[in-house]
Amino acid sequence: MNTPASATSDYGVRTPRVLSIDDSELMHRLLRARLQLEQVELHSSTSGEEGLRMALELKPDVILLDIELEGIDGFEVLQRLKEDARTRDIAVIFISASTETMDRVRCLDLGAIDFISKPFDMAELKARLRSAIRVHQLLRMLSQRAQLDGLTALWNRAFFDQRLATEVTQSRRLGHPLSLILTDIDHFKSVNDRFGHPFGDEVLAYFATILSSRRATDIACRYGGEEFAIILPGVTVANAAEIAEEMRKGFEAHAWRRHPDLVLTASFGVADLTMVAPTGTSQDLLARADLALYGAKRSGRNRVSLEGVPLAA
Amino acid sequence: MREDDSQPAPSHPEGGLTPLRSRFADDPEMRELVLWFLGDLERRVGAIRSALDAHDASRLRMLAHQLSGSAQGYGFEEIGEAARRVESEIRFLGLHRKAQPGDDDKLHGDGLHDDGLQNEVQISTLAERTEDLISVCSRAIEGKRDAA
Repeated sequence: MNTPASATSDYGVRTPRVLSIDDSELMHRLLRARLQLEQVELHSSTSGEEGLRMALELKPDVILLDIELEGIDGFEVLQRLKEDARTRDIAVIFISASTETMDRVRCLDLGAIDFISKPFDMAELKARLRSAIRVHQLLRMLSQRAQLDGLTALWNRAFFDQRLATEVTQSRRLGHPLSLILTDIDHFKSVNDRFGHPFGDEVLAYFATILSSRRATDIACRYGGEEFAIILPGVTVANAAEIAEEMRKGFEAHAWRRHPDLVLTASFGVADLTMVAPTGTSQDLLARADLALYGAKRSGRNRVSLEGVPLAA
Repeated sequence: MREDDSQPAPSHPEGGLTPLRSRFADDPEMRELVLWFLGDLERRVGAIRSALDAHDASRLRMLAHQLSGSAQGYGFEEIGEAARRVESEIRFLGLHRKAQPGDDDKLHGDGLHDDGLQNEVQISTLAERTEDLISVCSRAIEGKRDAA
Protein backbone atom coordinates (compact mmCIF):
# COMPACT_ATOMS: atom_id res chain seq x y z
CA MET A 1 0.00 0.00 0.00
CA ASN A 2 1.27 3.39 -0.91
CA THR A 3 1.03 5.78 2.02
CA PRO A 4 0.68 9.43 1.08
CA ALA A 5 3.39 11.78 2.26
CA SER A 6 0.74 13.80 4.06
CA ALA A 7 -0.19 10.83 6.21
CA THR A 8 3.34 10.07 7.33
CA SER A 9 4.64 13.56 7.89
CA ASP A 10 2.75 14.07 11.13
CA TYR A 11 4.48 11.28 12.96
CA GLY A 12 7.41 10.38 10.78
CA VAL A 13 9.41 13.60 10.99
CA ARG A 14 8.82 14.89 14.49
CA THR A 15 11.48 14.30 17.12
CA PRO A 16 9.90 12.39 20.01
CA ARG A 17 8.87 14.80 22.74
CA VAL A 18 9.35 13.92 26.40
CA LEU A 19 7.94 15.83 29.36
CA SER A 20 9.47 15.26 32.77
CA ILE A 21 7.32 16.16 35.79
CA ASP A 22 9.38 16.16 38.98
CA ASP A 23 9.51 18.68 41.79
CA SER A 24 13.28 18.65 41.88
CA GLU A 25 15.57 20.62 39.62
CA LEU A 26 18.22 18.05 40.57
CA MET A 27 16.33 15.49 38.51
CA HIS A 28 15.67 17.79 35.55
CA ARG A 29 19.32 18.79 35.17
CA LEU A 30 20.39 15.19 35.38
CA LEU A 31 17.93 14.08 32.72
CA ARG A 32 18.87 16.96 30.44
CA ALA A 33 22.55 16.03 30.65
CA ARG A 34 22.00 12.32 30.30
CA LEU A 35 19.46 12.46 27.50
CA GLN A 36 21.18 15.08 25.39
CA LEU A 37 22.52 12.47 23.00
CA GLU A 38 19.18 10.71 22.67
CA GLN A 39 16.95 11.78 19.81
CA VAL A 40 14.38 13.40 22.09
CA GLU A 41 13.12 16.88 22.82
CA LEU A 42 13.02 17.18 26.60
CA HIS A 43 10.75 19.54 28.53
CA SER A 44 10.53 19.87 32.31
CA SER A 45 7.91 20.86 34.80
CA THR A 46 8.25 21.10 38.55
CA SER A 47 4.61 20.67 39.56
CA GLY A 48 1.61 18.55 38.68
CA GLU A 49 -0.58 21.52 37.75
CA GLU A 50 2.03 23.00 35.44
CA GLY A 51 2.79 19.55 34.05
CA LEU A 52 -0.86 19.07 33.05
CA ARG A 53 -0.91 22.43 31.29
CA MET A 54 2.29 21.60 29.44
CA ALA A 55 0.98 18.17 28.47
CA LEU A 56 -2.00 19.80 26.75
CA GLU A 57 0.16 22.33 25.00
CA LEU A 58 3.10 20.16 23.97
CA LYS A 59 1.33 16.86 23.27
CA PRO A 60 4.40 14.88 24.32
CA ASP A 61 4.90 11.26 23.30
CA VAL A 62 6.03 10.29 26.79
CA ILE A 63 5.70 11.78 30.26
CA LEU A 64 8.16 10.84 32.99
CA LEU A 65 6.09 11.35 36.12
CA ASP A 66 7.25 11.43 39.72
CA ILE A 67 4.66 10.15 42.20
CA GLU A 68 5.65 12.38 45.08
CA LEU A 69 4.93 15.92 43.99
CA GLU A 70 3.98 18.93 46.07
CA GLY A 71 0.34 19.94 45.45
CA ILE A 72 -1.47 17.35 43.36
CA ASP A 73 0.52 14.13 43.35
CA GLY A 74 1.54 11.85 40.50
CA PHE A 75 -1.47 9.55 40.87
CA GLU A 76 -3.83 12.45 40.40
CA VAL A 77 -1.84 13.85 37.48
CA LEU A 78 -2.06 10.46 35.78
CA GLN A 79 -5.79 10.23 36.45
CA ARG A 80 -6.42 13.66 34.94
CA LEU A 81 -4.28 12.85 31.90
CA LYS A 82 -6.33 9.72 31.31
CA GLU A 83 -9.67 11.52 31.79
CA ASP A 84 -8.91 14.05 29.05
CA ALA A 85 -9.25 12.76 25.49
CA ARG A 86 -6.55 15.17 24.36
CA THR A 87 -3.90 13.70 26.67
CA ARG A 88 -5.21 10.15 27.12
CA ASP A 89 -2.85 8.56 24.61
CA ILE A 90 0.37 9.97 26.05
CA ALA A 91 2.56 7.16 27.37
CA VAL A 92 3.23 7.78 31.06
CA ILE A 93 6.22 6.25 32.85
CA PHE A 94 6.10 6.53 36.61
CA ILE A 95 9.33 7.26 38.41
CA SER A 96 9.23 6.74 42.11
CA ALA A 97 11.34 5.93 45.11
CA SER A 98 8.53 3.72 46.30
CA THR A 99 9.23 0.00 46.24
CA GLU A 100 5.74 -0.90 47.42
CA THR A 101 4.06 -3.39 45.13
CA MET A 102 0.68 -1.75 45.69
CA ASP A 103 1.95 1.56 44.35
CA ARG A 104 3.16 -0.16 41.20
CA VAL A 105 -0.11 -1.98 40.79
CA ARG A 106 -2.04 1.24 41.24
CA CYS A 107 0.08 3.07 38.67
CA LEU A 108 -0.37 0.40 36.06
CA ASP A 109 -4.10 0.11 36.81
CA LEU A 110 -4.47 3.84 36.31
CA GLY A 111 -2.96 3.48 32.86
CA ALA A 112 0.77 4.07 33.24
CA ILE A 113 2.76 2.20 30.64
CA ASP A 114 5.79 1.52 32.83
CA PHE A 115 7.31 2.04 36.24
CA ILE A 116 10.91 2.88 37.15
CA SER A 117 12.27 2.91 40.69
CA LYS A 118 14.48 5.68 41.98
CA PRO A 119 17.40 5.71 42.10
CA PHE A 120 17.52 4.43 38.57
CA ASP A 121 20.22 3.39 36.23
CA MET A 122 20.47 5.73 33.24
CA ALA A 123 20.87 2.89 30.76
CA GLU A 124 17.62 1.38 32.07
CA LEU A 125 15.79 4.69 31.90
CA LYS A 126 16.92 5.23 28.31
CA ALA A 127 15.86 1.74 27.28
CA ARG A 128 12.42 2.11 28.87
CA LEU A 129 12.01 5.56 27.39
CA ARG A 130 12.81 4.31 23.89
CA SER A 131 10.37 1.47 24.29
CA ALA A 132 7.59 3.82 25.44
CA ILE A 133 8.26 6.15 22.50
CA ARG A 134 8.01 3.23 20.09
CA VAL A 135 4.70 2.08 21.54
CA HIS A 136 3.28 5.59 21.51
CA GLN A 137 4.26 6.25 17.91
CA LEU A 138 2.70 2.97 16.81
CA LEU A 139 -0.53 3.87 18.60
CA ARG A 140 -0.57 7.26 16.96
CA MET A 141 0.00 5.66 13.59
CA LEU A 142 -2.89 3.25 14.20
CA SER A 143 -5.28 6.04 15.08
CA GLN A 144 -4.25 7.86 11.91
CA ARG A 145 -4.79 4.71 9.89
CA ALA A 146 -8.41 4.80 11.00
CA GLN A 147 -8.67 8.10 9.14
CA LEU A 148 -7.21 6.70 5.96
CA ASP A 149 -9.10 5.34 3.00
CA GLY A 150 -8.38 1.63 2.68
CA LEU A 151 -8.16 1.45 -1.11
CA THR A 152 -6.12 4.54 -1.91
CA ALA A 153 -4.40 5.17 1.45
CA LEU A 154 -5.40 8.81 1.15
CA TRP A 155 -7.11 10.58 4.05
CA ASN A 156 -10.81 9.81 4.23
CA ARG A 157 -13.81 12.13 4.21
CA ALA A 158 -14.07 12.45 7.99
CA PHE A 159 -10.48 13.57 8.20
CA PHE A 160 -10.91 15.92 5.25
CA ASP A 161 -13.86 17.79 6.76
CA GLN A 162 -12.05 18.33 10.02
CA ARG A 163 -8.75 19.25 8.43
CA LEU A 164 -10.19 21.71 5.94
CA ALA A 165 -11.89 23.58 8.77
CA THR A 166 -8.60 23.73 10.68
CA GLU A 167 -6.67 24.92 7.64
CA VAL A 168 -9.21 27.64 6.87
CA THR A 169 -8.98 28.99 10.42
CA GLN A 170 -5.21 28.84 10.44
CA SER A 171 -4.70 30.43 7.02
CA ARG A 172 -7.03 33.29 7.97
CA ARG A 173 -5.16 33.86 11.20
CA LEU A 174 -1.75 33.87 9.52
CA GLY A 175 -2.96 35.68 6.41
CA HIS A 176 -1.64 32.85 4.22
CA PRO A 177 -3.23 31.69 0.96
CA LEU A 178 -5.14 28.42 0.94
CA SER A 179 -6.37 26.55 -2.12
CA LEU A 180 -8.63 23.60 -2.63
CA ILE A 181 -8.76 21.29 -5.63
CA LEU A 182 -11.78 19.03 -6.18
CA THR A 183 -11.42 16.42 -8.88
CA ASP A 184 -13.51 13.64 -10.35
CA ILE A 185 -12.58 10.88 -12.80
CA ASP A 186 -14.56 11.34 -16.03
CA HIS A 187 -17.12 8.63 -16.90
CA PHE A 188 -15.88 6.45 -14.09
CA LYS A 189 -19.11 4.48 -13.91
CA SER A 190 -18.66 3.24 -17.45
CA VAL A 191 -15.06 2.18 -16.62
CA ASN A 192 -16.45 -0.04 -13.89
CA ASP A 193 -19.24 -1.31 -16.18
CA ARG A 194 -16.93 -2.09 -19.08
CA PHE A 195 -13.84 -3.44 -17.34
CA GLY A 196 -15.12 -4.58 -13.96
CA HIS A 197 -14.61 -3.33 -10.42
CA PRO A 198 -11.10 -4.73 -9.88
CA PHE A 199 -9.87 -2.54 -12.74
CA GLY A 200 -11.92 0.36 -11.41
CA ASP A 201 -10.09 -0.01 -8.10
CA GLU A 202 -6.77 0.00 -9.92
CA VAL A 203 -7.74 3.27 -11.62
CA LEU A 204 -8.70 4.86 -8.31
CA ALA A 205 -5.45 3.73 -6.66
CA TYR A 206 -3.36 5.08 -9.53
CA PHE A 207 -5.21 8.39 -9.58
CA ALA A 208 -4.53 8.68 -5.83
CA THR A 209 -0.78 8.32 -6.36
CA ILE A 210 -0.85 11.20 -8.85
CA LEU A 211 -2.76 13.39 -6.40
CA SER A 212 -0.49 12.66 -3.46
CA SER A 213 2.91 12.72 -5.12
CA ARG A 214 3.50 16.42 -4.59
CA ARG A 215 4.65 18.40 -1.53
CA ALA A 216 4.31 16.78 1.88
CA THR A 217 2.22 19.75 3.05
CA ASP A 218 -0.55 19.07 0.52
CA ILE A 219 -3.36 17.03 1.98
CA ALA A 220 -4.92 14.63 -0.51
CA CYS A 221 -8.20 13.00 0.49
CA ARG A 222 -10.68 10.60 -1.05
CA TYR A 223 -13.85 12.62 -0.83
CA GLY A 224 -16.08 9.73 -1.85
CA GLY A 225 -16.47 7.35 -4.81
CA GLU A 226 -14.34 8.66 -7.65
CA GLU A 227 -14.19 12.16 -6.22
CA PHE A 228 -11.05 13.50 -4.55
CA ALA A 229 -9.96 16.68 -2.78
CA ILE A 230 -6.54 18.22 -2.23
CA ILE A 231 -6.02 20.92 0.38
CA LEU A 232 -3.05 23.15 -0.51
CA PRO A 233 -1.96 25.38 2.37
CA GLY A 234 0.15 28.36 1.34
CA VAL A 235 -0.78 28.03 -2.37
CA THR A 236 -2.63 30.69 -4.38
CA VAL A 237 -5.42 29.77 -6.76
CA ALA A 238 -3.22 30.49 -9.82
CA ASN A 239 -0.56 28.06 -8.61
CA ALA A 240 -3.17 25.52 -7.57
CA ALA A 241 -4.61 25.65 -11.11
CA GLU A 242 -1.14 24.90 -12.52
CA ILE A 243 -0.74 22.02 -10.13
CA ALA A 244 -4.15 20.67 -11.13
CA GLU A 245 -3.19 20.98 -14.78
CA GLU A 246 -0.06 18.86 -14.15
CA MET A 247 -2.20 16.25 -12.45
CA ARG A 248 -4.70 16.29 -15.30
CA LYS A 249 -1.93 15.76 -17.90
CA GLY A 250 -0.28 13.05 -15.85
CA PHE A 251 -3.49 11.06 -15.55
CA GLU A 252 -4.46 11.45 -19.19
CA ALA A 253 -1.00 10.29 -20.33
CA HIS A 254 -1.04 7.09 -18.31
CA ALA A 255 -0.86 3.85 -20.32
CA TRP A 256 -3.06 1.17 -18.75
CA ARG A 257 -1.18 -2.10 -18.93
CA ARG A 258 -4.21 -4.34 -19.43
CA HIS A 259 -6.06 -1.91 -21.72
CA PRO A 260 -3.39 -0.21 -23.87
CA ASP A 261 -5.87 1.74 -25.99
CA LEU A 262 -7.80 3.16 -23.09
CA VAL A 263 -7.45 6.87 -22.27
CA LEU A 264 -8.90 8.03 -18.97
CA THR A 265 -9.30 11.62 -17.93
CA ALA A 266 -10.40 13.67 -14.96
CA SER A 267 -11.95 17.09 -14.37
CA PHE A 268 -10.68 19.61 -11.81
CA GLY A 269 -12.28 22.50 -9.97
CA VAL A 270 -10.04 24.96 -8.10
CA ALA A 271 -10.88 27.64 -5.53
CA ASP A 272 -9.05 29.57 -2.87
CA LEU A 273 -9.86 31.54 0.25
CA THR A 274 -9.92 34.91 -1.55
CA MET A 275 -13.05 33.68 -3.36
CA VAL A 276 -15.12 33.33 -0.21
CA ALA A 277 -16.31 36.03 2.13
CA PRO A 278 -14.00 36.89 5.06
CA THR A 279 -16.51 35.22 7.35
CA GLY A 280 -17.01 32.21 5.04
CA THR A 281 -16.49 28.71 6.37
CA SER A 282 -14.66 25.71 5.00
CA GLN A 283 -18.03 24.63 3.60
CA ASP A 284 -18.17 27.83 1.54
CA LEU A 285 -14.71 27.14 0.13
CA LEU A 286 -15.79 23.60 -0.68
CA ALA A 287 -18.91 24.92 -2.43
CA ARG A 288 -16.77 27.24 -4.60
CA ALA A 289 -14.47 24.38 -5.62
CA ASP A 290 -17.50 22.19 -6.31
CA LEU A 291 -18.99 24.90 -8.51
CA ALA A 292 -15.72 25.10 -10.44
CA LEU A 293 -15.67 21.32 -10.86
CA TYR A 294 -19.22 21.45 -12.15
CA GLY A 295 -18.05 24.09 -14.65
CA ALA A 296 -15.25 21.80 -15.86
CA LYS A 297 -17.67 18.91 -16.31
CA ARG A 298 -20.30 20.99 -18.07
CA SER A 299 -17.85 22.49 -20.53
CA GLY A 300 -16.59 19.15 -21.79
CA ARG A 301 -14.60 17.41 -19.01
CA ASN A 302 -10.84 16.67 -18.93
CA ARG A 303 -10.01 20.23 -17.91
CA VAL A 304 -9.25 22.51 -15.00
CA SER A 305 -11.65 25.28 -14.13
CA LEU A 306 -11.89 28.14 -11.68
CA GLU A 307 -15.07 29.70 -10.39
CA GLY A 308 -17.30 27.73 -12.71
CA VAL A 309 -15.43 29.15 -15.71
CA PRO A 310 -13.22 26.73 -17.62
CA LEU A 311 -9.63 27.81 -18.32
CA ALA A 312 -8.70 28.18 -21.95
CA ALA A 313 -7.47 24.78 -23.10
CA MET B 1 8.38 -1.70 57.45
CA ARG B 2 11.48 -0.46 59.16
CA GLU B 3 14.58 -0.70 57.03
CA ASP B 4 17.86 -2.00 58.30
CA ASP B 5 19.91 0.89 59.56
CA SER B 6 22.94 -0.96 60.79
CA GLN B 7 25.27 0.67 58.29
CA PRO B 8 28.27 2.16 60.10
CA ALA B 9 28.73 5.90 60.15
CA PRO B 10 31.63 7.14 58.01
CA SER B 11 34.88 7.42 59.86
CA HIS B 12 36.31 10.85 60.59
CA PRO B 13 40.03 10.41 60.94
CA GLU B 14 41.62 12.94 63.25
CA GLY B 15 38.32 14.72 63.60
CA GLY B 16 38.32 15.93 59.95
CA LEU B 17 36.02 14.78 57.15
CA THR B 18 37.04 12.21 54.58
CA PRO B 19 36.32 13.96 51.28
CA LEU B 20 33.87 12.16 49.05
CA ARG B 21 34.28 12.17 45.27
CA SER B 22 31.62 11.66 42.65
CA ARG B 23 31.83 8.46 40.68
CA PHE B 24 31.65 10.74 37.65
CA ALA B 25 34.30 13.23 38.83
CA ASP B 26 36.57 12.28 35.93
CA ASP B 27 33.82 12.11 33.33
CA PRO B 28 34.19 15.28 31.23
CA GLU B 29 30.54 15.10 30.17
CA MET B 30 29.42 15.18 33.81
CA ARG B 31 32.04 17.43 35.42
CA GLU B 32 30.13 20.67 35.15
CA LEU B 33 26.89 19.05 36.24
CA VAL B 34 28.54 17.51 39.31
CA LEU B 35 29.91 20.92 40.26
CA TRP B 36 26.45 22.43 39.94
CA PHE B 37 25.07 19.63 42.12
CA LEU B 38 27.67 20.35 44.80
CA GLY B 39 26.75 24.03 44.74
CA ASP B 40 23.11 23.08 45.26
CA LEU B 41 24.19 20.69 48.00
CA GLU B 42 25.88 23.47 49.98
CA ARG B 43 22.62 25.43 50.11
CA ARG B 44 20.64 22.26 50.70
CA VAL B 45 22.68 21.25 53.76
CA GLY B 46 21.83 24.63 55.30
CA ALA B 47 18.15 24.06 54.52
CA ILE B 48 18.23 20.54 55.99
CA ARG B 49 19.85 21.89 59.13
CA SER B 50 17.16 24.56 59.58
CA ALA B 51 14.35 22.08 58.86
CA LEU B 52 15.75 19.80 61.56
CA ASP B 53 16.12 22.65 64.02
CA ALA B 54 12.59 23.84 63.25
CA HIS B 55 11.25 20.26 63.54
CA ASP B 56 9.70 20.74 60.11
CA ALA B 57 9.25 17.11 59.02
CA SER B 58 7.46 17.98 55.81
CA ARG B 59 10.30 20.16 54.56
CA LEU B 60 12.91 17.71 55.74
CA ARG B 61 11.15 14.92 53.88
CA MET B 62 11.03 16.98 50.67
CA LEU B 63 14.71 17.92 50.85
CA ALA B 64 15.72 14.33 51.52
CA HIS B 65 13.34 12.94 48.90
CA GLN B 66 14.88 15.03 46.15
CA LEU B 67 18.33 13.79 47.11
CA SER B 68 17.31 10.17 47.44
CA GLY B 69 16.04 10.14 43.89
CA SER B 70 18.87 11.91 42.18
CA ALA B 71 22.13 11.79 44.17
CA GLN B 72 23.11 8.49 42.62
CA GLY B 73 22.71 10.03 39.20
CA TYR B 74 25.38 12.56 40.15
CA GLY B 75 27.67 9.77 41.32
CA PHE B 76 27.02 10.01 45.06
CA GLU B 77 25.46 6.70 46.10
CA GLU B 78 26.27 7.38 49.78
CA ILE B 79 24.23 10.59 49.77
CA GLY B 80 21.27 8.84 48.15
CA GLU B 81 21.45 6.08 50.76
CA ALA B 82 21.64 8.50 53.68
CA ALA B 83 18.73 10.52 52.27
CA ARG B 84 16.64 7.37 51.88
CA ARG B 85 17.24 6.48 55.54
CA VAL B 86 15.94 9.91 56.56
CA GLU B 87 12.93 9.55 54.28
CA SER B 88 12.04 6.09 55.52
CA GLU B 89 12.30 7.21 59.13
CA ILE B 90 9.87 10.07 58.50
CA ARG B 91 7.52 7.66 56.76
CA PHE B 92 7.87 5.22 59.67
CA LEU B 93 7.01 7.96 62.13
CA GLY B 94 3.91 8.72 60.08
CA LEU B 95 4.92 12.33 59.53
CA HIS B 96 4.78 12.24 55.76
CA ARG B 97 1.08 12.92 55.41
CA LYS B 98 0.44 15.50 52.74
CA ALA B 99 -1.03 18.81 53.82
CA GLN B 100 -4.77 18.98 53.19
CA PRO B 101 -6.74 22.14 52.47
CA GLY B 102 -7.51 23.79 55.77
CA ASP B 103 -4.50 22.31 57.51
CA ASP B 104 -2.36 24.65 59.48
CA ASP B 105 0.87 25.22 57.61
CA LYS B 106 2.92 24.11 60.54
CA LEU B 107 0.99 20.88 61.01
CA HIS B 108 3.91 18.70 60.07
CA GLY B 109 6.23 20.54 62.36
CA ASP B 110 3.75 20.30 65.19
CA GLY B 111 3.29 16.64 64.36
CA LEU B 112 6.95 16.14 64.88
CA HIS B 113 6.77 17.85 68.26
CA ASP B 114 3.74 15.86 69.34
CA ASP B 115 5.14 12.55 68.24
CA GLY B 116 8.45 13.55 69.66
CA LEU B 117 6.95 13.72 73.12
CA GLN B 118 5.73 10.17 72.79
CA ASN B 119 8.55 8.71 70.76
CA GLU B 120 11.73 10.24 71.97
CA VAL B 121 13.76 7.29 70.78
CA GLN B 122 12.38 7.54 67.26
CA ILE B 123 12.84 11.27 67.08
CA SER B 124 16.40 10.90 68.16
CA THR B 125 16.82 8.26 65.45
CA LEU B 126 15.54 10.75 62.88
CA ALA B 127 17.86 13.44 64.20
CA GLU B 128 20.74 10.98 64.07
CA ARG B 129 19.98 9.97 60.51
CA THR B 130 19.66 13.58 59.48
CA GLU B 131 23.04 14.32 61.05
CA ASP B 132 24.46 11.40 59.07
CA LEU B 133 23.01 12.86 55.89
CA ILE B 134 24.46 16.28 56.65
CA SER B 135 27.78 14.69 57.38
CA VAL B 136 27.96 12.72 54.15
CA CYS B 137 26.89 15.82 52.18
CA SER B 138 29.60 17.82 53.91
CA ARG B 139 32.17 15.25 52.85
CA ALA B 140 31.07 15.64 49.25
CA ILE B 141 31.32 19.43 49.54
CA GLU B 142 34.79 18.95 51.06
CA GLY B 143 35.69 16.89 47.98
CA LYS B 144 34.70 19.82 45.78
CA ARG B 145 37.08 22.12 47.66
CA ASP B 146 39.83 19.56 47.17
CA ALA B 147 39.15 19.43 43.47
CA ALA B 148 39.09 23.21 43.09
